[in-house]
Amino acid sequence: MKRPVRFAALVLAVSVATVSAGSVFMMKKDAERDAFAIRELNRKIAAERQRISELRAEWGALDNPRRLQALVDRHAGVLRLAPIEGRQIAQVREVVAAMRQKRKEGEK
Amino acid sequence: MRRNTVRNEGARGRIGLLLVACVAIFGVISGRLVLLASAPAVAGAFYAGSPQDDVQAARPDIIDRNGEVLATDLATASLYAEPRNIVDVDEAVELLTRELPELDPVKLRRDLSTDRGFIWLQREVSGLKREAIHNLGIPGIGFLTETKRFYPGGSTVGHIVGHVNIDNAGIAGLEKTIDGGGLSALQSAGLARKGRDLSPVEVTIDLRVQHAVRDELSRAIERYRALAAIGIILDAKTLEVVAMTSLPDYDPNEPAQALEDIRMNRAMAGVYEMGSVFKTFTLAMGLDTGAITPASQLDARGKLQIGRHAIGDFHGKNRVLTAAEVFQYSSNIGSARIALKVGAQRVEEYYRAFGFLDRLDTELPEAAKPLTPSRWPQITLATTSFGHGISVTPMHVAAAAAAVVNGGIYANPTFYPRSEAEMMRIGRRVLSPQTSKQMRDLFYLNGNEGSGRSALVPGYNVGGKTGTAEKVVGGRYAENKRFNSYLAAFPMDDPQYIVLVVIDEPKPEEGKHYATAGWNAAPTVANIISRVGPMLHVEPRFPNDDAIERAITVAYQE
Repeated sequence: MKRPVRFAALVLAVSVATVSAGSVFMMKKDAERDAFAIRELNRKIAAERQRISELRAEWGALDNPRRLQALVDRHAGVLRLAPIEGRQIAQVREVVAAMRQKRKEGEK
Repeated sequence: MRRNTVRNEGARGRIGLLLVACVAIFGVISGRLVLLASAPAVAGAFYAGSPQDDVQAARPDIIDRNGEVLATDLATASLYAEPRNIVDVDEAVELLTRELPELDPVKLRRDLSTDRGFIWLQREVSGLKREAIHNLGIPGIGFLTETKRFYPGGSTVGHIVGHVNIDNAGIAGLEKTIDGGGLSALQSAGLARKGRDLSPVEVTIDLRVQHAVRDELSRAIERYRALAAIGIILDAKTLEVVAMTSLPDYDPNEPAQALEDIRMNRAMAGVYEMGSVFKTFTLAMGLDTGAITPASQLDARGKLQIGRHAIGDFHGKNRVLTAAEVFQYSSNIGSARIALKVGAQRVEEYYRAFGFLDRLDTELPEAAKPLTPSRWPQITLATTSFGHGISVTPMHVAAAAAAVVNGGIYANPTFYPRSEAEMMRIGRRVLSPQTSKQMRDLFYLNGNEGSGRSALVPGYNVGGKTGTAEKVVGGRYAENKRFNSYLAAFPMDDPQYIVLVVIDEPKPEEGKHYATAGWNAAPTVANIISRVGPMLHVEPRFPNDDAIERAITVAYQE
C-alpha cells in the first residue's frame, strides 16, 4: 500500500522537474530569440527614424519657398502663375448674393 | 516505543520548520518573479543603445507654425582611429592621405604612432570617400556617425534660429535658447540621444511669410540702392513674431558669415533713432493722459524755440494744426508741443510702459539695450517726441505699436506660441481702449489721406505712420543719409498684424526725386501686405457693390 504511493510521488516529482526544466530551457531560448528580434527591430526603427529625418530635411529644402519661387520664375512661361490678390478672395455669401442678383437681372 | 515517539515528534518539528523555510524562500522568489514580469519593459531600453549612440548629441527639430522644418539633425560620418590597434603606421598614413589629401601626413604619422585608444581624424567625411576608405580595410580606422545640424531654409530664417558649433551646441539665436532651457544638462546626463524622441520646438514664424518679407526687402534694397533693410510682422493681438528679417543676413549652414558686422540682426540687435514713427507714441500718450484730443489746436507756425535749439518742420504747414493733422502731416513742432504738455515725468513713464527703456526680453539672446536719455530736460522731451535722441530696436517699435492698436495691451514679443488668453494674463495695460480706438482712426486717416497712401492695398485697409530720420554722420544730422520706416497695421478696423519696414539709406528710385519714407518704405509695405494677406487668412473686405462685382468674377472664373 505504501510503496505504490511513494513510487507515484517520485514519478510525479521527477516528471514535474523534467517538464519545468524543459520549459525553462524553452523560455530561455524564446527570450534569447525575442531579445535578438527586439534588438534587430530597434536597429531598424533607429535606421527608419534616421531615414525619416533625412527625408524631412530634404523635403524642407525642396519645399523651401525661396526655391519654389526661383522655379516658378524660371518656368513662368509655362506655368503662368501669379501671386493671389485680395480681390480674388470672396465669401460664399457674397457669391450667393451675386448669383441671385445675376438671376434677377436675367428675369428682367 | 516511548522514546521512539519522542524522537519522532522532534523530527517532525524540524521537518515542519524546514518546510516552512522552503515555502517562505520559494514564496519570496516567485513573488519577485511576478513583480519583475509585471514591471513595464522600459528597463530593456537602457541596454538597447550602442556605443554609437554616445557620440550623437541630439537636438530637437525646430519647426515653424505650419510644421515646416527650420532646423533638423542630419547624420554625417566622421573618421576615427585607434592608434593602439594600428599595425603598420606607414601604410595607414600613405593610404589615408591618398584618399584624404587635406590630412597633414606629418601630423597624422605622429598621431597614429602614439599609444592612445581613440582619436578623431576628420569630421564630416562625404559619402563617396567614406566608401573608399572603408574599402581600404585598414585595421584600427573606422567611422562613427555624428549628427550635424542642417537648416533647410538657409538664410531665410538665419537670424531667428541661430546656429550651432561643431559639437552641436547652440551658440546663437533660438538654438542657444534651447540649450539654455536644459537641453545641455540632458545631454551631459546622457539622456538626450538620437533616436529618443525630443519633441520639436515650434516657433511662431511662418516660413512662407518670412520668405515673402525677405524677398520684398531684397527687391527694395536693389530698387532703392539701400544699405540694409529690416522687416517685422507681429501678431497685433498676441505679439507673436510672424516674420523678422534683417538684410543682409547670413546662412546658418555657414556660421562663419555670422561674424561679419554687416550681417548682424538689425531688427533686434541694432538700435536706431527711429524718427517720425515715434510720433505714434507721442500722440498716444497725449490722448491717453487727456493732454490733447484729436481736435486740439497746436501752433505749428515758424520754429519752436527751446533754449538755444530751434525745432522746425520738414513739410512745414506754417499754421495752427489739429492734433490729427500733426500726425497726418508729421509735424515735429506739433508733436514736441504735445510732449511738453504731457510733461517729463509722465513721458518717461509711458516710454517705460512701452518697453523703450529696457532691453527686450524675448527668446532670442541677441537683443540690444536701447540708448535712452538719463535726464529729461525740455529739449530732450521735444526731440524724443519725434524719435530723435532716443535709440531703440525696430522690434521695440513694432511691439509698442501692437499695444497702441490692439486695445492698449503690451507684453514682450515672443517667438514661442502664445494664445490670446495667455496674452490677457501676462499683458499689461499701457493705454485705455478709447485711446487705442482714437489711434486706430489716426492710423486709418494717415494711411488713406496722409503720407501712407502709397502703402494702400485693395481690400486690406492698411493704416500707418511714415518715418524719415536723418542719420547722424560725424556728430551732425546728414541730410542725404536717411533711415526710413513705415509702421503699419492691417486691417485697420480690427488690426490683426503689425508690419514694420525700415530701409537704411535709400536713394531715390530711378527717375524719381524723393527718397522719403512715403516713396520707399510705404510701397514696400504694400507689396508685403498684398503677398502675405492671403497667407495669413486675413479676410479682404471691399465696399458693398464692389464685393458683388468681384464675387461674380471669382464665381465665374472656375
